Amino acid sequence: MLSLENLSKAYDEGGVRREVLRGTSAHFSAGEFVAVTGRSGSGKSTLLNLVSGVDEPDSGSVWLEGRDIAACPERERTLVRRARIGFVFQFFNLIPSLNVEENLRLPLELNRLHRDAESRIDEMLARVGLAERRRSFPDRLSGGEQQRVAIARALIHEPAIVLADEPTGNLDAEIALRIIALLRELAAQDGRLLLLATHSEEAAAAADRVLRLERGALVEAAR
Amino acid sequence: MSALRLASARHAWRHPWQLLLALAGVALGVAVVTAVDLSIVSSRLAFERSHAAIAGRASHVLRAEPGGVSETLYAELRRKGLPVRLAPVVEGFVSIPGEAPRTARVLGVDLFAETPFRPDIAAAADREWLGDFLSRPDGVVMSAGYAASLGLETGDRFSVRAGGRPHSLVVLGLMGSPGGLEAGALSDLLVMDIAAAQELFERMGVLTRVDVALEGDAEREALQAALPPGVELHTAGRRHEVAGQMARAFELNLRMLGILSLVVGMFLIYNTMTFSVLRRRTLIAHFRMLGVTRRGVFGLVMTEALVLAGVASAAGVGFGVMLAQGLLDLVTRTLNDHYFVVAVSDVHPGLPALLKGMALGVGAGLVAAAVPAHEATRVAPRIAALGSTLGTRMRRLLPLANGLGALFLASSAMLVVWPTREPGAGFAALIALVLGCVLLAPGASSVFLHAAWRVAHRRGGMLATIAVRGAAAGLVRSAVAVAALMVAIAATVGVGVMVDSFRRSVEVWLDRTLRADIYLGVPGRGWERVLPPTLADEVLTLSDVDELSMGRVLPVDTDRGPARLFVLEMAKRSYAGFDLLEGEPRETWPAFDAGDAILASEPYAWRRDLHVGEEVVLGTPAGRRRFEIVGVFRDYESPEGTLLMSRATFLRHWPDRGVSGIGVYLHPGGDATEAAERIRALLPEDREILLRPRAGIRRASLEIFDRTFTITGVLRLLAGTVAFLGVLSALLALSLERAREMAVLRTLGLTRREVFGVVQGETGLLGLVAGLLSLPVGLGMALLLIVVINRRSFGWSMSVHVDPALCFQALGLALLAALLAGLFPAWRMARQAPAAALRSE
Repeated sequence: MLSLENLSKAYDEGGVRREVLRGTSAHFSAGEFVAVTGRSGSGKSTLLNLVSGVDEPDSGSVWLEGRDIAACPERERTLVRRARIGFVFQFFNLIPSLNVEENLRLPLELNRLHRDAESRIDEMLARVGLAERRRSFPDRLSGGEQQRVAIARALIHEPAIVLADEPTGNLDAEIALRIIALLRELAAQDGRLLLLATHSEEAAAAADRVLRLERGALVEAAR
Repeated sequence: MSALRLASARHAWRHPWQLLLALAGVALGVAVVTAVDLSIVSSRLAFERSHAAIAGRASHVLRAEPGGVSETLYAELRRKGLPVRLAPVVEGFVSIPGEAPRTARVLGVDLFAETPFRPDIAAAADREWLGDFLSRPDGVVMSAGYAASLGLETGDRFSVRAGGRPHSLVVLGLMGSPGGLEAGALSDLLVMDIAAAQELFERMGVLTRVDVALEGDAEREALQAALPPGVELHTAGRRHEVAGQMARAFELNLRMLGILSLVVGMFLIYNTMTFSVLRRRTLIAHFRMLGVTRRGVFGLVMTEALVLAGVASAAGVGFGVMLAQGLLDLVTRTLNDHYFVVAVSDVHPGLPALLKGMALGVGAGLVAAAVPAHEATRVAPRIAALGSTLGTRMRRLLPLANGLGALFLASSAMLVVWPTREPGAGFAALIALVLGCVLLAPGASSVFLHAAWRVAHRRGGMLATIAVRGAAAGLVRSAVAVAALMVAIAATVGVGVMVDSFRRSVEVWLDRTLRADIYLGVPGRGWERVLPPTLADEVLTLSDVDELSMGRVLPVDTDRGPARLFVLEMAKRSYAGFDLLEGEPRETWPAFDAGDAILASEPYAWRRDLHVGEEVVLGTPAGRRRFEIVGVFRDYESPEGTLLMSRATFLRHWPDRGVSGIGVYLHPGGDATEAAERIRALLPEDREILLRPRAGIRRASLEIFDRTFTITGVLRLLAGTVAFLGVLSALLALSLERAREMAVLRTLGLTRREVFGVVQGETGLLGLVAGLLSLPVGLGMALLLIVVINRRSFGWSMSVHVDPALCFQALGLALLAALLAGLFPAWRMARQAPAAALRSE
């Protein structure tokens, strides 16, 4: 479903070139829950950005459902991301000017999924336990609630892949575990690939497979 | 540099666009104020110097208006050996033809009597030209600077026109050096021997005035006892002061427009400092944790504002000097058209005007920064939810702003009904109106955006909702920019409606007043210009001509100060040309034709609070006579005001039969073009006489009107530019603030074009809000300008005319300005790499 081939990416930091990914390769299947771990700055977020087409690799390919999105023009990458990928961030990144319901409606509108939009929203809100907060704005929600909305938003348009970048990094331990469980439960349904970037051992423990980013390469971690 | 200041400087350095826009906005605001001030000060200075050069050291003047002082009286007074010094003067204007025709003032003097009055001119008398000066009828001397500006040297001949007649004059000598102090004072002056000047203006035996140097009451009494009826002794400079006072209202209007730019510039400083504080709340919180006091934080922000305003003001003053050169021409043209003749080619960048510009810029900057500086002191050492804190604070302050806004509007209303005729109170009402509306703007914008959100929510989809909500959320940051744009557009609406109403009133007035088919007149300036005495009779013999009106404009001294007397022999059809504001036509016109009665123009009556039934005393050759005001008529020709007298009445009191203008009424159905040709054949060949059809006069009058308001348009444009910079600055600030939100939208799958559309939607909405709010504010400003300020400044009343096209233009302008200002921020947000923006979190 998703394959990375010889993926390289480097950044220029104050005149010094820092190689984050050095020709790394990996393969991911539908329905998998894969955790990518590593130190801060090891390139976890970069990897997710390359997978989503938010960023471009210096070299290598990102094969998603048979198409190398790294070779696609920017607009096409955006349209692929819009339809096939859901994103969950560490800082939730809900749209502050939209309430809970509207935040969920946004991916549906972007993908022109107008039919049964209401029922999808109702169902998703019920699944994340926020049916009562549908009219609330993000700044009125707790961190855990905001992340649940973010998960619902990432899944509502039924993407093929859910990318979660440190989704528990800003939450306390108990809520973090609940969020991971929720992610797993929701992503696993319908055979989605869930790619979780985290430095939390507890979060990674919930994954089917754990990859570790070391010196720019993905290596299978011992379980 | 201290660590605190270093952190400040680096922050500013990291946002160069923000810094540059604030600098440019304030600099432009200061430049406009300085330029207006310098152009007014320079033309004033030229006016004062020119007056000082012409009036010299005379303490009093003898006048016998409107005809002038007889030369024999002067000779008689000298013969009597009175203990007073006297100098005869003949004064008039000539036009110097050329690519850019110029008007020069001619001063005819008796050099031997000059020393006590105009020692500079007397001292300049050079042995080389003195003989020619006294003997030649065509010899003039002028300042070296003026000669250089005309491309003349000693011995050169040049052509002039006096009263329409061509003359050839010769430069006998030059006074002073081209760059000397006297250059400005004498910059439009030709000095001739008095007899030569009399010949030039065909005023043989007549003096314009006699300058008098009196040192005590005894001398004054002795002189007065020797004066025949009709000759009056006045304080020197009286007429000059009146002309100066008249122009002051015009200058005040200009200054207020200049200050408008600075006020809009103040918004920019406020915006920049607020944004800078908002972005550094965390940094400030860290400072506070490290022990920086509230006072220290306040000082830090105010020092930044001081440096910013100081640099911007210095640049603004420099730019203002350059801009003043451009405005000077517009200012002096209006002064020459309506108030007094003044020639000034260079800006005089006096230190006070420059310091004033600096002080205003720095002061405005500090005032504008005080609120954000205070806001900075309220940052707690630990800080949680920035956005919500700010939003909550804004919501809390909104009722206070609304209350203050309402208070300012109430003050404005009170100032309008305040029983005074001072235009200053009108301007105070205008400022209160603007401030009130600025304070009410955030609340009104909120209401509008809430309504827009409801529409977007139901009909527009999520992107429209994001745009509307983004605009509403952004109000915390952009309210000031919206208010600045609102003020600038409102000024466009206000001044636009005022100028439009004024122009339409003038058009209606011209259509009513200009009833003759053809007008004959003498070109140039000055009351001594008259048409050939037989011309009227000759025109009347033509078969096409039904009747004539004949007029003459003369200066006259009244018990209420100098005035302009319009002597008119009416044609039967002329009467309907007067729009009587006071007086019943059935009673007014018979009284006007038969008795010692006059009509006062609206500005004249308004300035002196005169009404029908009251009297004005005029000096006649037989002494002072009372004339009853039997009507007040609408007149937009002269801001100083006019008294209208029938020619029959005039001739009963004054011997002067001269006529300077003739209105030719053709028989019904007569062909004006053919008649004009026949009249042209009657005109003498040796002098220029203007022959213009009604449409030509109308066009020329409206050209002067439009010229008068050119400077208003320029100043409005400059204020609008500052507002545009303000909106651009606010939107750039917003784009920095919302970089992450836009990056999230991009990761959710919005294309660059969609992000661009969202940002432009927000921007356009803010522009639309500013435009919609500017309409009621602008109409309020227009009403104040028309009903209060124009009335009090110039005495003119006019009907209010609101052209819907102007309102749509204003809306379009606001929208366009906002969309243009939003182009770069929208482009930047659309092009930003979402990964980089997200990484920065």
